[in-house]
Amino acid sequence: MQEILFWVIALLTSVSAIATVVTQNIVRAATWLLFALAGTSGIFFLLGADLVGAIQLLVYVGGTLVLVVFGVMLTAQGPFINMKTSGAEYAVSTIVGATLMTVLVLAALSLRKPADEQYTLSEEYRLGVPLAEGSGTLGDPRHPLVKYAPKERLIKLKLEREEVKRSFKEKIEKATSEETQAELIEERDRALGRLAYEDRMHTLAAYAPTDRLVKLTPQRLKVVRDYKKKIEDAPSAEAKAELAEERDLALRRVTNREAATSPYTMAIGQGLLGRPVGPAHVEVVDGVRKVTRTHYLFPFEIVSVHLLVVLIGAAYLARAKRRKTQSPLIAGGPEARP
Amino acid sequence: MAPPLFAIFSTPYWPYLLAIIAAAVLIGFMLVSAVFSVWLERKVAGRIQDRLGPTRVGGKFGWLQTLADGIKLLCKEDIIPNDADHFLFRLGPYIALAGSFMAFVALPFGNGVVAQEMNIAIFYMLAIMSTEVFGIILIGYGSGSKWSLFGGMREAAQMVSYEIPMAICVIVPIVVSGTMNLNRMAMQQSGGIWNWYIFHDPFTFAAFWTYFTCAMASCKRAPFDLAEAESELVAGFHTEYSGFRWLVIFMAEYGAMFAVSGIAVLLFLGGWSTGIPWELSEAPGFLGILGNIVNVVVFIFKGWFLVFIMMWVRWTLPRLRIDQVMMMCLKYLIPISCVLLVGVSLWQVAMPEIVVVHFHWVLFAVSMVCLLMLIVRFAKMSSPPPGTAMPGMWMMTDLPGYQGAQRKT
Repeated sequence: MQEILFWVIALLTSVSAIATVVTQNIVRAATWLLFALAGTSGIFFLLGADLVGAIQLLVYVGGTLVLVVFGVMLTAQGPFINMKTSGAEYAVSTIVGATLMTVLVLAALSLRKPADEQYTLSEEYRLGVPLAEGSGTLGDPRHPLVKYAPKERLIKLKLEREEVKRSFKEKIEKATSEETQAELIEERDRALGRLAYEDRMHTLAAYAPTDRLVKLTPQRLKVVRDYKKKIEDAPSAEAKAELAEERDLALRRVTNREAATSPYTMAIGQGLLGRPVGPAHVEVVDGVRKVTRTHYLFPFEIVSVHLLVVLIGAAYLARAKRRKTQSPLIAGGPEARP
Repeated sequence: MAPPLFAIFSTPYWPYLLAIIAAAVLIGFMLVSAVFSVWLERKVAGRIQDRLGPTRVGGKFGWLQTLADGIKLLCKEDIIPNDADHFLFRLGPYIALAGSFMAFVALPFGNGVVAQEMNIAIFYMLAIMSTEVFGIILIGYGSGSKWSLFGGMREAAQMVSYEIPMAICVIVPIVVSGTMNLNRMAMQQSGGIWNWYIFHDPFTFAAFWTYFTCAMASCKRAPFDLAEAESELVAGFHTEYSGFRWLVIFMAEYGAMFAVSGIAVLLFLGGWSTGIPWELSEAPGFLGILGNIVNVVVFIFKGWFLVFIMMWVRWTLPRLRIDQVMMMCLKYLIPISCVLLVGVSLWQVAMPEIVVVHFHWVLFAVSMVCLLMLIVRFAKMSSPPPGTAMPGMWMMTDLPGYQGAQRKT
């Protein structure tokens, strides 16, 4: 349904945008522009970017467009201003428009599809918070992601874990020798570990909002592995803690570097194509995890540039050649009306 | 949390159908409210200006007057002047109506009774209502008449100017509450009249009056109705309109009146909270829903009360000149609102906490005492002895619908 709404709004917006360009009457063009801008803000609302949508309306519809029409009413010499566009003007505007369009299309097409990617629970993904290995499974209510998972699911997993424990308990009790018992215990722990891993990998990751997840890129994986060995080899608990801290710092550096070059910084154009935009941009500043949602700002900026062009054009038109149409009251006859 | 009456909208079942129902309910409310307001406007005008007002249609209080008006307008010939830009002429009223109606989407009528709860509800409402202005300007421009054009131009100038102090005044209670979510703001003000933001500090108190003045101007209400000044511009921007489109313009205007009043109520006058120390909608179970219905009724009455005050002002004060209107905004309202914004910020930051927390008691008490004194003064006021002939329409006993006192000869 959201897609249908998107296509309807997008279609109306595009049609109005084209009409803005094609129509020759300035105020009619402003009216079409109203629909184009309102449609754009509609898309912002559809994407859940309420603030930008409202700003779009307030600034452009309430401010700019009113000012455009106000300017026309103040400067008009005939009742309805029409304009003829010369070939050079067409050429200039086509170049400007095509440039903007190219930027937009390139931005949109240079993206991978976050929509497909973000829910793929491949090995690449690891719960981002906390990064320390082994800490926090579903059994641990302090895990920062537990609150996102539905209760039934949590209970089900708990039951599964108990089921494993029970089945192994019987086997262990029936075991003949101590060796098989030890083997069975090891097997049970492995199964439990696998379950715990699945908890983290699938349940928590599936239900947690994507901005709480950190993708384990090769660089991050390398850091984690390097330090894992070092920490294991460390002689004392203090040294281990120190190393863990060092590791977190290194991870932060990697995160910041990735943030600068992340494909998701460019994910912003996709909103215009109706794709759900990727996970929010996770950045670690001074040890604080910050989520910046910048995706929709790019189309907003594009529209702003577009508006700037329109404004300059309007200012130009206000004093440029106009085809004066005399009022039919003066010229006589409705056929003089544009 | 209270059981929100419309919590059903957040469930995944049929959200789109329910959205349509919500829209229908809202537009129904808006239209009924407009019908009521038009009738009230005439009655208030009649009472204040010592005229009769509607008496002949619909028996008691002439309550069917608006309906009769509506039927008349629907049956009227729809004229589009030859000289008009037909496309804009047809389109304008609907843009105005859409802008006015869309504002209702974010207006909470009760605890959670809102079509779409938004974090930036108040900002959204201000933004969407600026669309209505554009509609009015198109109406003025597209009519192809100089009266309309003048009306539209005045409207544009007035609106672009008055939006500034209005928006700044809106920020004042936002500074206090720390949220732009209207529902949450109303929630903060529940639990007694003294919790209303109008009593919070001297700046919010002044901001209410400033906001209300700007709101009246933004609704093109007298004394700021320069866009339709009938003594100068025939009928201003809607000179060329008749029939259904004229009706739509007025629906938009009355809708916007209720919307800005609703904003004032939510920002300053406690929103949907009843003003008693108990929050009714927080009661458990079914009682909570009943309490929420009470909240809705209270909110609507608060809104209508402010609409009534707008009418009161309209029929009491004479119209300003256009330069006076602009001067009022640029020389007085904008500086005042800026001072209020700075003042409330300083109040929140620099005042000792004990003052900030308890000052509303002082302001509440002082206001109540003033109100009481005013009421006593009105009660003591000597009325003219019965039968005294006051100049007015009612002296003409041969008018149809005459019911008043006998003329003394």
